[in-house]
Amino acid sequence: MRVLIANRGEIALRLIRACHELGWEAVAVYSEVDAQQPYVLAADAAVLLGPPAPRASYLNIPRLVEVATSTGCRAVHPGYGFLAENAAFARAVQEAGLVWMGPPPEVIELLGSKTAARELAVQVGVPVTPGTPPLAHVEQAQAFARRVGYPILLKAVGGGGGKGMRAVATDEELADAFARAQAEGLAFFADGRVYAEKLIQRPRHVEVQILADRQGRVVHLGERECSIQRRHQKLVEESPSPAVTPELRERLGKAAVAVAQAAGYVTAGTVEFLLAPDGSFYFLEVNTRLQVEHPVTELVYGVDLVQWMMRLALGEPLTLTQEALVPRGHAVECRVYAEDPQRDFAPSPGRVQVYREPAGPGVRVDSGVEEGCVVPLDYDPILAKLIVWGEDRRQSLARLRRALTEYVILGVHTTLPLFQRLCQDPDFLAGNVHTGFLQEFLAQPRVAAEPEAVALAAALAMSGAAPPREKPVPDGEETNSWRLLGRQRLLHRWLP
Amino acid sequence: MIRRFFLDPGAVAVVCRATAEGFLVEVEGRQFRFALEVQKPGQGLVITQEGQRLPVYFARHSQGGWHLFFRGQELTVHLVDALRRHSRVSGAQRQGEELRAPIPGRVVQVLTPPGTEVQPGTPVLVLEAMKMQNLITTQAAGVVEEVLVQPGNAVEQGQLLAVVGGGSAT
Repeated sequence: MRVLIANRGEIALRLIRACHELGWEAVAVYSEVDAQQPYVLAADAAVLLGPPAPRASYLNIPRLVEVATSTGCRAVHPGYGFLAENAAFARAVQEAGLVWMGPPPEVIELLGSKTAARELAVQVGVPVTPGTPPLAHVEQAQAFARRVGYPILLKAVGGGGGKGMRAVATDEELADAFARAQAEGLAFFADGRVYAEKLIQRPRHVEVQILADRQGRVVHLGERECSIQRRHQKLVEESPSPAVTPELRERLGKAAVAVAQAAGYVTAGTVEFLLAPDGSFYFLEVNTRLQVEHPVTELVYGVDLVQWMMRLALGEPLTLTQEALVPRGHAVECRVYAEDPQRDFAPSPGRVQVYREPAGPGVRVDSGVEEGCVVPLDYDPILAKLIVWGEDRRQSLARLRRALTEYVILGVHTTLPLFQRLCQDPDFLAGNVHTGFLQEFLAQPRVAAEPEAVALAAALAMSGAAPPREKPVPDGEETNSWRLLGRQRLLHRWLP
Repeated sequence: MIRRFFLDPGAVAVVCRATAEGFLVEVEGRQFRFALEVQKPGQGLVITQEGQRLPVYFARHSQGGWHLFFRGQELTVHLVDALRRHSRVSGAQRQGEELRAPIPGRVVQVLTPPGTEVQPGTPVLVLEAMKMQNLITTQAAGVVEEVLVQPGNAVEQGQLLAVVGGGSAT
C-alpha cells in the first residue's frame, strides 16, 4: 500500500510517519524550492511537481493525480491547507480510482458553503449566531445591522481563515467593508457573495474534533480552545478548554456529532463554535480536514487521529466508543511561524542557521524544518508545532515554559519569543482569553535588548565567530537571503 | 584592539575591547567581562568573570543583525559599526518620500501610477508574502513621481518601491 502525500512541511512529515506506522509507503511531492526539505527525504519516494508558485505545484490537480497514478499509490491524503478542502481535487482523485483520505466531495461542498452549513445546523437544533442569507446590496446589510445592533461581521460565502471577513462597527464603515469583503471573496475563493452575522463580543473560539465512519457512526473527542489568534489565524491551542465543564463538553460534543451526522460526514473533521462569556455557544462552521492543532487532542485522548482518518477513509469501521473516550490531563500547542511578532507578524523567510529542538517529559515537536534549511517565501510560514502534555493545565504550562527555554531557532524570526512572554501573562496562565486577547496582549510595551546580550553580540562581531553569510554585506546593512532565493528561482527557469 | 558600535535603534554606544582574558565591553555605562569559546559554527560557551560556563547560540539574522540565544532567551541585536554610521545617515537625506518594502515579498498590484496625488495613508501598492497581502501606504501628501516595480516583481526588504514628491497636493 502506497499513499500520496499532497502537501509539504511539517504536516507532510506527520502523514508520512502515520503511513510508516501503518506499514505503508508514502510518496512525497515537492516544488523546486522544497527539494531539500526534511519531509522529502523522509518519504519512500519523492516526485518534483514543478515551479514554486502554488498553482504550478501543490495546487496543480492534474499533476498531483498523474503523480499518484504513476507512482502506484492507492490513496491520497491532502493534509491541511492547499487542496485539503477542495471538492474538485477529491473528485479527481476518486475518478482516477484512488482513495480520497478525507470526507466525500459532496460533504466538502455542502459544508464549504457557510450558509448551507448554517442551515444544516439550524435543522438539527444547533444554535447559530443571528445572520442573513447572501446579500445582494449593502442596504440589506444595513437593515440587518439596525435590527440586531452593531457590531456585525461581513463574511464572504466561500471564505475561511479570516479572508473575506470584516468587522463593522458603524453605518459609515459599512459600504467600504461590504465592497472589500466582496472583492476578497472574488479574489481568494472566486465567489463574491457576502452575508452578515451579529458579532459576539469577547467570545472564545472552541472547536470539537469528530471521527466518523461510512456506516454513520460518529464520536467526538472533546474540544480545543483556540482563542489565541492573530489575523483570525490560531497561534496557541489547548485541550481541554479552561472554560468548558464536563457538562458543557457533553452538550458541545452532541451538537458537533449531530451536525456531522446530518452532513453524512466520514473520516476526521472539526466543528467550530463561538463560546460567549455567558456560556452560550453558537455554531460557526465545519472544517472538512485534519486540523493543524490535532496533536493536542491526540495527547489528551490517547488517539492517533491521522491513522484513524486514513483507516476510516479506507472503509474500516469506527471501533472507538463515546463512553471510552475520556480526556486525561491537559495539552497545549504553540505554532512556530517564521514571522516577527514584534513587527505585526511580518513574514521572515531565510535560512535557519541554528536549530535545536526541546525534548524530555511530555514534549512533542512536529517540525518540518532542520538546521540549514531554507524557509521559502511562497507558502504558509509554519515551521513547526511545539506540543506539551501534563497531568493538569498547571503542569503542562510549566512544561511549556521549560521547553521554550530549550527551543533555539536562529537566522529567521519566529513566534517563539512571543510564547515565552505569553507564559508570563497572568490572564493566559489563568485561562482568561478571548479571540481579541492577543491583540490586547501585543499592545503591552515590548522588551528592550538586555545590555549583557548587546555586549555578547559586540564580542561575537569582533571575534569573527559568525558562520559565513550567504552574501557579504557591510555591517549593519539590512539584508536577507531573498537575494539568493531569487537567483535560485531564475536558475531553475533555465534548467531543463 | 578596540571596536566601537552603535546599537540600532537607540544609538547607544557600545565599546568592545579584546583583552588577554577575553572581552571587556561597555554598554550604557555598564561593563561586561567574559571570554568566548566557540565550539562550532553557531554554538559556543560564554565564560563569565565568576567562572560560570553558559551555552550561547548565535547566527547572523536573515534580516540583518545578530540573532542570539542566551540564558534561555532569544534576542536580535542590531549593531552598526561606528565608522559607517555617519555616511549612512547623510546618504539617507533626500528630497521627498521613499517608499521601501517593509518585508520581502511579491508585488501584486500598483494602485497609484506616477502622477497620482496622494494624502498621508494613501495605499500605493499591494505586497504579498506568505499568503498575506500588505498595503504599502504613504506617510506624507504629495505626488507619486516614480514607481520602480511592477506586479509580479519579487522585492527584498528595504528595496525602493516608489518615490513620492514633496510638493503639497492641494
